[in-house]
Amino acid sequence: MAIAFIRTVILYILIIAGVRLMGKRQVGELEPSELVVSLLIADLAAVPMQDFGIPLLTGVIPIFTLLALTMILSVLTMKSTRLRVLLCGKPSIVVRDGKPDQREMRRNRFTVDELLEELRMNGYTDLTQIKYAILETNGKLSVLPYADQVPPTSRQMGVRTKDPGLPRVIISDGLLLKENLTAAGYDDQWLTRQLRRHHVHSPAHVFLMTVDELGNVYLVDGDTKEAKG
Amino acid sequence: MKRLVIAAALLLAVLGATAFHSQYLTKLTDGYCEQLKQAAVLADQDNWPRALELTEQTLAAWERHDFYLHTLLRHVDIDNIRLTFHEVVEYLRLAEPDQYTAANARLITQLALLAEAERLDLKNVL
Repeated sequence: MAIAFIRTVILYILIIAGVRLMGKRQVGELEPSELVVSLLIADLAAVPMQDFGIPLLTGVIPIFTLLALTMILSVLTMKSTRLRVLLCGKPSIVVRDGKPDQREMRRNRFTVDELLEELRMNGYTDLTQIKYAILETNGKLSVLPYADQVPPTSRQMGVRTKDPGLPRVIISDGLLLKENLTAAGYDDQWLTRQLRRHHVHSPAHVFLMTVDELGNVYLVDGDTKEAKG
Repeated sequence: MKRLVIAAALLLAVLGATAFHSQYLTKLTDGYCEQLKQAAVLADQDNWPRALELTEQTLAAWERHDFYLHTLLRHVDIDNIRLTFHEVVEYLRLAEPDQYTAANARLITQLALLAEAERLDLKNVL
């Protein structure tokens, strides 16, 4: 059992180092330590689950060890910038003033095709629109376009708009959510009026009904026919 | 900070418990091996009833630790040792010196290997 503990610590450190060496592109949305834990825990749990000849503790001890190590690392990375950079890396600017930084791209093993794909996914097709593109530590690309490429906001255009707030679901798949109806400040009479307005006889015939803070009702009846009011 | 202390305490507790297990198992198996060696000496002196009694006592002590052994060690290793124990007891009952000596030596080795596999040393870690 002590061997399992020591081996878990050694392998955890080794795999974290391996994931860090693989680079940001392999990490996905998780930090390296989180990725390592999710890779290992499933496997550790599966072995004693399938093999009854192995004590349960053979899986439990490494899992506890991994969770404790991850917790320690997460606290230490919060406190120490150096450790954070060492474990998670730091963001890399791969496009600067519309030009790809080839050295930085090579360092992150980030290809031109991947860059263009990520830019398209962010809604940009032309590098000249981009002031900065930053490869974050979780492998995602943040794109900051030039100021003249950013769509103007209603404030910039001097247009006054009302904030509709968070819409509340009143009916979900024929089921009336009374708590939400009350929380939104409405009652059964109001609901009956709204249903009648949309030519629906009962909540059971509604697929989805929401109401926002301005009182705008969105209703889709059970036949997926959409209505808005 | 609280999370750090809890995690560090958990790590230390796991390390402590596993190190204690390693020590305890070594002590336990060393005691059994010693008793089995004494039984072998008695059998050499043709004192078969006393050798049988001592081996059965050792087997009873082993079986009293069944829960501990099964929760911490591979079941196949425990079952093999139990099997050899019964084999040794039967050879003692039959007063078969050759078969007994071989089975008893195997049992002592199995017990020693069991503790060795759990010992916290570089050979096992690597």
